Amino acid sequence: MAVRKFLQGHAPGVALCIALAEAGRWLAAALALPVPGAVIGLAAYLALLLTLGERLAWSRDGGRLLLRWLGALLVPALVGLGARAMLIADAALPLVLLLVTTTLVTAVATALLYRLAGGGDS
Amino acid sequence: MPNMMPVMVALWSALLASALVLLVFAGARALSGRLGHPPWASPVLTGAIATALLLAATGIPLAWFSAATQPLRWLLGPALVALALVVEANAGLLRRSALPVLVAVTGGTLVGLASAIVMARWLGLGPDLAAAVSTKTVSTPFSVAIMMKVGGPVELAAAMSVTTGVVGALTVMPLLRRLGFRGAGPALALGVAAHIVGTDWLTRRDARAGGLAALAFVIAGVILGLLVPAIWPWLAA
Repeated sequence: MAVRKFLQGHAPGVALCIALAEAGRWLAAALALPVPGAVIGLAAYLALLLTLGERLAWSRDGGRLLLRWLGALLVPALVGLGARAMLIADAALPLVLLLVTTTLVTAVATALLYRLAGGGDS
Repeated sequence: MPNMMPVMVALWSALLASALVLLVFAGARALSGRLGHPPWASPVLTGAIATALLLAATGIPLAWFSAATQPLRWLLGPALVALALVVEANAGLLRRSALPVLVAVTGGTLVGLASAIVMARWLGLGPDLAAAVSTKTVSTPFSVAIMMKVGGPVELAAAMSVTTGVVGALTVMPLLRRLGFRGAGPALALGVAAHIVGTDWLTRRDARAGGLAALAFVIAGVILGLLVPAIWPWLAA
């Protein structure tokens, strides 16, 4: 009973996200667009949410379920890194330097641009 | 009648590997919660380390694991689509200050991309690492989607994005406060520079600022999702 209720609540939203991701992938391939299909799907879902509003409420639980487990979907890609461990170890110092410097430069640039563009503190 | 054995084996392998990843990730998330959600205990990072150690300890080949977790990798696309909910939840914030938010996030993302490319060349990183750091400014689901699209180094790019998130979550806010930045600017900066890891850390302390950071990391991901594949031939050259 609980499984059925869970599926009824979440499956429609998950199915919609799958359909939009696949539609985006198909569109990107058919039109030879240099964009990941899922990004097109994201834009389409956002457009639907902003235009249909509460009429798309049935999709939210499924979407939130995917977001809650998004981190788990990234684990296989990171585990595959084991095969490239030596490559990273050989360039560890320059990589640390690059990651720290560019992260801080990016953050300062973003905050500065927000202020220069007239953004307030609140 | 065709032999169904290979299909059944592949199905069971996918179920077993997916269950393993989900269980380990749930454990990593619980551990992160017990520790108070510090950036260095990101469940993605600790979950990946625990899974890798488990595979090594049990002698399960990485090739089997990679093949068996294809369904999880495939679900990354739909999960990325679901990020539209994050933008929708913060649409009011975006409408109220659209210009400064878009200028800051677009500019910051481009600075992140340019600085990574320039530093990678200056430091003499090899082609795979140089390609991987080009998407370090975006959250891991976006960097993975971009690399899958262009045929780049998916694992390396994922590692760079997660590590950037941890580095950013630990360092960005103290630096920006020291420089005198307050309010919305630092929240957007954390979203662009430290994406999901930084956003998660900030949301637990200030929900509104976390919403801004979430908005920023999704917009940044879309910008590089459009830009990196277009300039990939030049980046990979």
